[in-house]
Amino acid sequence: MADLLPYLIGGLANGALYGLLALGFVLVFRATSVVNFAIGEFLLVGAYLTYTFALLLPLPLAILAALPLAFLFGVLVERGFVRPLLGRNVVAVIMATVGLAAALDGGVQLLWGPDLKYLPGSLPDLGFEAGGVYVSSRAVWNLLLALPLGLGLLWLLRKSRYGILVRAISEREVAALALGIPTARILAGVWGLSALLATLAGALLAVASGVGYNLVFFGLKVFPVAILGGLDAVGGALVAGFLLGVLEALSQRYLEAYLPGFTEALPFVVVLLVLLVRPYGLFGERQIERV
Amino acid sequence: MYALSKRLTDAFSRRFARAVRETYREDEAYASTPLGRLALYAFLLLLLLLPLLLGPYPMYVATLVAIGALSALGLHLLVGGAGQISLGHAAFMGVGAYTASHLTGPLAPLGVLLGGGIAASLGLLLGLPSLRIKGVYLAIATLAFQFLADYAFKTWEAVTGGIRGRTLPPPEVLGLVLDTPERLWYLVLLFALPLFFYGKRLLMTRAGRAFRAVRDNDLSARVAGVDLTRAKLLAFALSAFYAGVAGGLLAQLYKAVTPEYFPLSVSIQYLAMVIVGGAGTVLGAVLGAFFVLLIPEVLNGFVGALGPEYAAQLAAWRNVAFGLLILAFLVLEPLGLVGLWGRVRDYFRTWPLPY
Repeated sequence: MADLLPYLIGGLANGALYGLLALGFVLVFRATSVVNFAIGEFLLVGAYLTYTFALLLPLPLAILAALPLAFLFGVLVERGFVRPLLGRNVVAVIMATVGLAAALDGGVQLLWGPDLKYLPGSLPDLGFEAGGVYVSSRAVWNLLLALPLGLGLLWLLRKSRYGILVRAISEREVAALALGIPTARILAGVWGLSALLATLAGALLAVASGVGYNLVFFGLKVFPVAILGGLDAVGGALVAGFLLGVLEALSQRYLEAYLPGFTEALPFVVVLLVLLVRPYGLFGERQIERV
Repeated sequence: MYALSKRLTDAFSRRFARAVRETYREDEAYASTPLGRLALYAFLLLLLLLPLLLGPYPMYVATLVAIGALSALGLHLLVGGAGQISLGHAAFMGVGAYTASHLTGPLAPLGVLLGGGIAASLGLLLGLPSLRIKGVYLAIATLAFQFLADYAFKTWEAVTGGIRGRTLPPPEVLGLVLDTPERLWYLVLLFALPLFFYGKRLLMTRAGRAFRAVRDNDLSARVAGVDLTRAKLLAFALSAFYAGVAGGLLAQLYKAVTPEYFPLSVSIQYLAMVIVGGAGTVLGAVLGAFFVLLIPEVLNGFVGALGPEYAAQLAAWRNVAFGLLILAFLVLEPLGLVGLWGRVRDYFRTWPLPY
């Protein structure tokens, strides 16, 4: 049991980032019913933005500088590729995100080169030891940033004026428009927020393990998380993020000896199992219509 | 003046490009005008004689394009036909390829066919849970399948040979060893032509019309009596079958199968073919495959001219090109190359006097 704890702490540290990333992803899906297949690339772009700023600024400032730029990036994506497809089949928009993902994939590699890069600075070391178990600085930072931010966003979505407007739009966009809600602006904001959250996750990953192309694979785990929590459940995304992190930790500890490399495939096994047993996820709204 | 213009354009469209199909017989025909029929026959003849006209390397590329077009047609039936997205098309091709790698030599045609069958059954298994709800779930399930298949290709050594993959002896048909692209071409045609004609006809049948009804408006399709899950499942299984057959043929062409042939980026490449070709038609599949498969060849030359330090990042350039192509066609020309061609044709249909 004691040797399991380090794995679990690592799992929770990853889970916090999964949750953050999935939160933005699910928010976009709720508001616009677009599945953003470029979410992994949002994270990638965010991580490289942080890296670029970190060459010039102290690391905490670099992260703070990358966030507004990421927001702007999200808004531009919405303006450039989502809005022009308004009124078309949602399939078209989803395929546009696939195209965007491919273009960003290549673009990032061309701009920053293919090799792994390490950030020059680091965040203050918050690691500590409790009861013989070492809690890494990475885990503390991830949880410290992700939990309040995630919970705060959930609260804002429930209580704030902006949050209520977002929910109104996701409920019925045309009616929201008719009521004079500035739908276009708010949806752009939702995309911006999603990119911002992805960038924060990317920055934290970059701090811990450097920036490289393989960050995309971390980003792809947003799909298992979102399906597990429920594709339209914003709060579920946060919970499912931690759940997947823990599941991966368990697999790392107990299954890896028998099935090497299985932990990489596990999230996608989870997808298929959830779709089979409970397709609307743990917290998703059960859909009655069958169309 | 007007009457003259009308007579001219009527005569033109009867002969060269029929605007409206008036009878079921016309709708079912493969080509709607005498000239179109002639073009079709000429094209078929060209396909049969192609190995006599081209050298070994162009023939290799032609075979690659034909296989790509076959696979793209499968995805067309799903995306353009039924309006669902698959991000696992390459994985289904892989399933077909690995199946074919176990039945080789004289059994090769059987292996290719069986590869399609196994891919289709896997498609049914995958589609059944995810199509009960909404199309987006299928997209995510296929993404998951792509990664799981990748994992299986790499680790299930007994069947797939692990990372090193498997090699195939050339197929044999009636004692003839098909060891060059020129000879393999006919095996490809043997599978591709019937599947192309089937794909073309399918869209005119009850099932094909059901696909399109689901694509255009699933609610009204349901009201009209279309069983949505059934229609989507059928489209998905069919597209997997086409992918499996194409994968099996690809294995014969490459004479080897490794996991590197079927990653996510290839799935996206096929999606690009569908979008660039456009609109769920057979012609679109061919044009899309031709266009997209020739891009790497063109990029090779272009990037090579820029300098060796750029050539190292060819994969990245390719990704950018495919991504931008998808975006550009989606935003600017949703009907794809077929739509472009249609507009050019419509322009000439009324050409001298457009009003």
